[in-house]
This record gives sequence, structure tokens and C-alpha cells, in this order.
Amino acid sequence: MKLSALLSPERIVLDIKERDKNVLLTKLIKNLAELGGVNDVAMLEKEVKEREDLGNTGIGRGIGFPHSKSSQVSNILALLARPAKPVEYGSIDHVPVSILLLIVAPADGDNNEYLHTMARISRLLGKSEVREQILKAHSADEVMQIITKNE
Amino acid sequence: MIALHKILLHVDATLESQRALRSAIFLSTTTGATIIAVHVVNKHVVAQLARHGTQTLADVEIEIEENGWRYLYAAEEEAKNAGAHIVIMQEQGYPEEILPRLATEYQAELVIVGLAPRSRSDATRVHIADQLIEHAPCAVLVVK
Repeated sequence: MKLSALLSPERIVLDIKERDKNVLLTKLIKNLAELGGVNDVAMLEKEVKEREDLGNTGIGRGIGFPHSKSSQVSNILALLARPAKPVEYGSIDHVPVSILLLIVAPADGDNNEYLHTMARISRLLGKSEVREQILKAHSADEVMQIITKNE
Repeated sequence: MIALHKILLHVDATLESQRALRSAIFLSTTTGATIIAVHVVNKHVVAQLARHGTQTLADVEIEIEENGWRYLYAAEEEAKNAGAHIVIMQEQGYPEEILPRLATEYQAELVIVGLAPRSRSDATRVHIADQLIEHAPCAVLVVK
């Protein structure tokens, strides 16, 4: 599944003010839940954060990719966020995170599709030209166009 | 006895790599060490596949990179389901150079690699293990 199929302008949040990783994750999960498709937001938050505690999801180069399988959703849901300033995320390369992508997938969903989707997204966001364009974008619509064009 | 805090794990598509992951998970859950799982887009392999196949070098690289992320996320899922601590990363270059460098950079106490029995087709991977044993700054566990 392509990232452009999971996102829409309302699932792209620019210039988030939160600077603390934990607070930021809470906000992303809340924003995701507000768009629908989440049964119990508190449970989802617990699951995402428990997975994060077992291993930081910063994949380097300024990308944070919090993800989890959850019984609280029936479809893969995504939300892309760009903090106003890079956030200390504890990534393995120590680069503060400037783009975050939250992905939650059904616990009993197709694991191959999930892994394939995660792999596609990681490769896409690993491209420096895509990251630079997203960082310079002025609107959620523009970010959406960048993603669609580069997939 | 070596105190384990960080284990560098080489991840690829092989069965031996999956066995290596299980060893890393066991050690992580026993000691609390963090597994740093790395897949390398191996330039030797990219060049070889592009030379003998129909895809361009860039296309081969894209395919290997995407597959690499898939192996990494699968490893991450298995490790986290077992309660092991893991972070994942992908690099491009030559594993025999990158693995010792990462082991030094992240101060890993152990590097784990999977290795199939020696055969002509596994020449590259045998080379990786040989180089690792010689150049890694720490203990190396080769899982067959």
C-alpha cells in the first residue's frame, strides 16, 4: 500500500509546537483518533508507547516512525507530522526528528502487507530530496503532492 | 563474563540470519541488551545483480533497500513481541566495512551474523564473517 493512499491533507499536520517526544506522541495519537477509526484512544496510546519503550522508532536522518499493531483499529491508519522545530527523539544517529509518521495497523491484519507498506514508506522518506521538499512545504496539500509525485 | 548492553545484528534474507535474530533476542531478553539490527544494501550484490539481470543498477538498489526494510521490520516485530529491545537501521556500502565501523561507533559488545555453510555461492558472506572476526572491536558470534 502506498503512503499516498493512507494520507490525505487532514492527516498531515504541520508546525506542531510540542517539543517533548512523549507529549508529541500523545498529540499525534489524539489527532489520529479524532479522524476516526480508533476504538479506544487511551489503549492505542499505551500500545504505541509500550512498543516505543522496547526500541526507539527513529530510523535516522531526522525521521521518526512510531508504529504499532493494535486491536483498536480495523484498517491501517496514518498521520504525518512536521514539528515547528526538530525534536530530540533519541534516534540511533542522534539526529533530532523533523518529520514524524505515525502508523497503526490492525493486530490481526495482513502482516505481509503491513511490512511491505512500512518498507515502502521508509524507503520513500529515506530519500533526501523528498525530506527536503517536505520540510520546505507551505501546506498539507503541498506535502500530499510531494508524496504522490515521489512514490 | 562480558556485560552486554548493545548487540549489533546483521540482518539479511537468509535462514541463518533468522537464526542469528533468535540468538540476539535470547541474549537481549536475558541481559536487557539492546539489539541494533542493521541491513546493508550490499554494493557487491547490487553490482552483481545489475550485471547479470535485466534491471538497472538504480532499480536493483531500490529493490534491495525496500526488501531490507521489510526484513528489518519483521525482525523488529519478532524481537518486540518477545520483549526484546531493538532499534533498526539501514546502511549502504560493504558489510565487511560497515559492520566493524558500526560496532565501534555504537560500542557494541557483541556482533552477531548468520552464516550458511561454506560454499561457492556463499563466498561473499564467508568473506564478511572473516573480515568481521578480524576487524570487529568486540566479540563476534557466527550463527549457522
